[in-house]
Amino acid sequence: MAQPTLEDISVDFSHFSPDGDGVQDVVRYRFTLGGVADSADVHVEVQTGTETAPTGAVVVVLRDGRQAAGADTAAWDGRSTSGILQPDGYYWFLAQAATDTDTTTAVPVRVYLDTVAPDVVVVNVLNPYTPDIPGADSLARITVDLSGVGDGDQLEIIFRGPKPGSASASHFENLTSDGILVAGWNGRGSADGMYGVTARVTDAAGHANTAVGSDLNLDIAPPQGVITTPASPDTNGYIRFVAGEVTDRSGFQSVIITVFDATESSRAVVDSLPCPCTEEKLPFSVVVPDSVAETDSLIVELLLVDLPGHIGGSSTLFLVDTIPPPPPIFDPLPASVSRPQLEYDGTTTDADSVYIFMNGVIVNAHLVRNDLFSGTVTLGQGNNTLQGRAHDSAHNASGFSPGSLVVYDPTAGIIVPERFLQGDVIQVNLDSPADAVTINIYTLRGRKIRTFEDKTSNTFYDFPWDLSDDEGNAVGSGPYMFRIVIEMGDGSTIEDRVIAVVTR
Amino acid sequence: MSPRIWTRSLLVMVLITGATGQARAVTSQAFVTVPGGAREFAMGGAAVALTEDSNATLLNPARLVYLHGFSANATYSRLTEDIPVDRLEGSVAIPIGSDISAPLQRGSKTRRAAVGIAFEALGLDLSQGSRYAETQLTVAGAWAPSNFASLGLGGRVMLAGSDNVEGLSASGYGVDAGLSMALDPHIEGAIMVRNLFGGVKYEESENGEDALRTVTLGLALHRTGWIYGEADLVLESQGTYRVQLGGEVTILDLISARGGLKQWLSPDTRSIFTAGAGVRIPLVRVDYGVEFDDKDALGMAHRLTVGTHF
Repeated sequence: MAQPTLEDISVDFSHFSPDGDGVQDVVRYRFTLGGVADSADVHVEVQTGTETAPTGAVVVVLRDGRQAAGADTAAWDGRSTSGILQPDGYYWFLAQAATDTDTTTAVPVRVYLDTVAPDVVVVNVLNPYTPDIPGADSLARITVDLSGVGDGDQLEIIFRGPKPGSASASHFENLTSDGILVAGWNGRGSADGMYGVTARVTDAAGHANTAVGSDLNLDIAPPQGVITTPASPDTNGYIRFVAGEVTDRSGFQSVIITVFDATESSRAVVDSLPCPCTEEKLPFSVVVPDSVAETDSLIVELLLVDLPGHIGGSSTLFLVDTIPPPPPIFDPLPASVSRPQLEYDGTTTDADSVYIFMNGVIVNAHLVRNDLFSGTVTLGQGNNTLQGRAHDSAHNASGFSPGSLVVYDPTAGIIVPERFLQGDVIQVNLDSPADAVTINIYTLRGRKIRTFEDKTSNTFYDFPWDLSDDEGNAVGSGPYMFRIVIEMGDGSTIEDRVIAVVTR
Repeated sequence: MSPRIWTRSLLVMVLITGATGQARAVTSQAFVTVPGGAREFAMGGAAVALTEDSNATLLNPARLVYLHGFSANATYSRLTEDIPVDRLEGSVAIPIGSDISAPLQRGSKTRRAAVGIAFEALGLDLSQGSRYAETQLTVAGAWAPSNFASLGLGGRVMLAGSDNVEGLSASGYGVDAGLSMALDPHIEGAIMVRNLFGGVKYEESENGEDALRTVTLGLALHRTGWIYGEADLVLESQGTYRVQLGGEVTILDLISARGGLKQWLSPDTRSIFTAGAGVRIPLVRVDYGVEFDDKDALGMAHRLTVGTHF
């Protein structure tokens, strides 16, 4: 008779925790009975033991009897034969197969029964974290108390923020419970801001525990200052007051504001804010005495040092400009229009904004780019006088431009330019809404070349014509007959024919 | 010249004019109103193979050789409904040289040559009341190398302008060519190319445009003295084409009744019926024609002609 064999011996977890949490509650011992034609006696038991060997005390017998050849799995829930949960420690699976003549013993397999979750405490987060300052810590130091972890547990420290959803993590494996771990993070590629710090420890039996530390303040950016008064580098009066705000994530070691005459640096006033301080934002204001203020060019310097040691600031030149720009010039405007929307363009020099007035009331404001401005204004019925006024960056205002009179006359009717150019518009103006307007365009030989149709309910209809026929071919110059049919809302119909001459 | 050579000439002309008729360049729509008298108007415009008076100066100069003598016509047209689009046309033609015996032709004789001159004027009101006008002056000549066929050639200058609108002044020119042949004692064929060469330019336009080129292939049937009919295929620049059919019945060599059909085939299809009547008394002939175009198109159009022939 053949010698029985026990092959493919394994367990699915080296650590397990029969605590009923659904994670690694049972460990499975797998083996394959071979070497026999049909069956053999199989005995599988669990013994107590040390890390290196079983001690011989049987905890539970999982198999004992005749068993057919083939693969089998014996599961153990960490309890003895009497159902008592065993204490944490090492346990060994032992297996033996026997026939009437031969016996085979499998190599023992060890598992660790672990019902105790690891513990972790974040002791300290060093703030602020400024890895860019020479001599400062290049790593954010996170101190973690590991006294509650077990051998082989894993630690993960997660930095989350400053934007929602962003996170990075550092991993530490095979920890030993020797007390304290100081973890570092270089913050490389991360934006300034507050980062949440979380330490998560996981043991081999599947237990996990999390500790939340204080937020980490990552501060790489230098401090910054903004001058709010004067509001523009160009001003039309002497600067007798300077105000603004300085900002930094960590606070300031020092804030120094210096205002001086650009042509004579000896004429200066120096002010500072009480520092060090931990405020993220600090307002400042400096009164400039006449001896310094009465100049055409003034420089305001901000020298800022934040708590980690970043140096920042600015130097801004303010020019005093009292010469107004010339009035803006409108491109030629139509003398009369039949639509309330009027587009205009114009030019101006030495100005950065233009205000548009209609009948003396401001209606639009434009920023000037390349000395050009453009816009649209809604006309009132009758006479409309458009004027413009230019402003430069020092807030000097020009006089009003000469008034351009545009008459808006929405008289009901069909308006077709007598000389029709590319892009001209066929307009239909009605006193009451229509349901549809159809326009067919014919040559004087009677050939229909283009149809326009608008089935929306409206009072004004515009039909721009690009001088192409219904197939998209360019039509030639010459007289064309426009047949217009208007289906009014009350069911009546208005029909008309007009002729215009197309020229290209 | 033998009939075979004429046939070949006809084919060559058909090919050339057919090809030019399909040209795709931008074609001016100035100076495009249909010429001719009220008789031709009433017959759907089908006239290139049967006209035989001074109107041939514009319709087919090759037909001038069939003048019976001095011929003059004056025509007034109202081209559209509701708005004033008026057209005047005057033409004078005289035969030159001796007669050629022409047994195949009705009237039994053909002139060796003939010349004609025609004046066209179009006046209309634009959309805001300004006036716009087009005028054309055409001089044409015809020559009959044999007693069954003739060739014609015409040249035209064109001017346009407005009393109130800048940029509407235009000028142009055109060259016409025509051919007419007797195919049978009662069947005549003709080819007419209006503006075989020609151009139009508005003064403020950057480029000139082609004058509208029209190629008409006509076939006429007649029983001398009382019944005439013609069918034309008209090809225009930019791929437009149509068929024109017309008929005329004359009673007692005095009163004529006419009808016709102008059928647009491309790019859109539209049928336009025409009708008219004429009275012929010694030396004077008066004709009237009306065209029943769709009310949503040009509407009804009228044409009245007074002519003299001796």
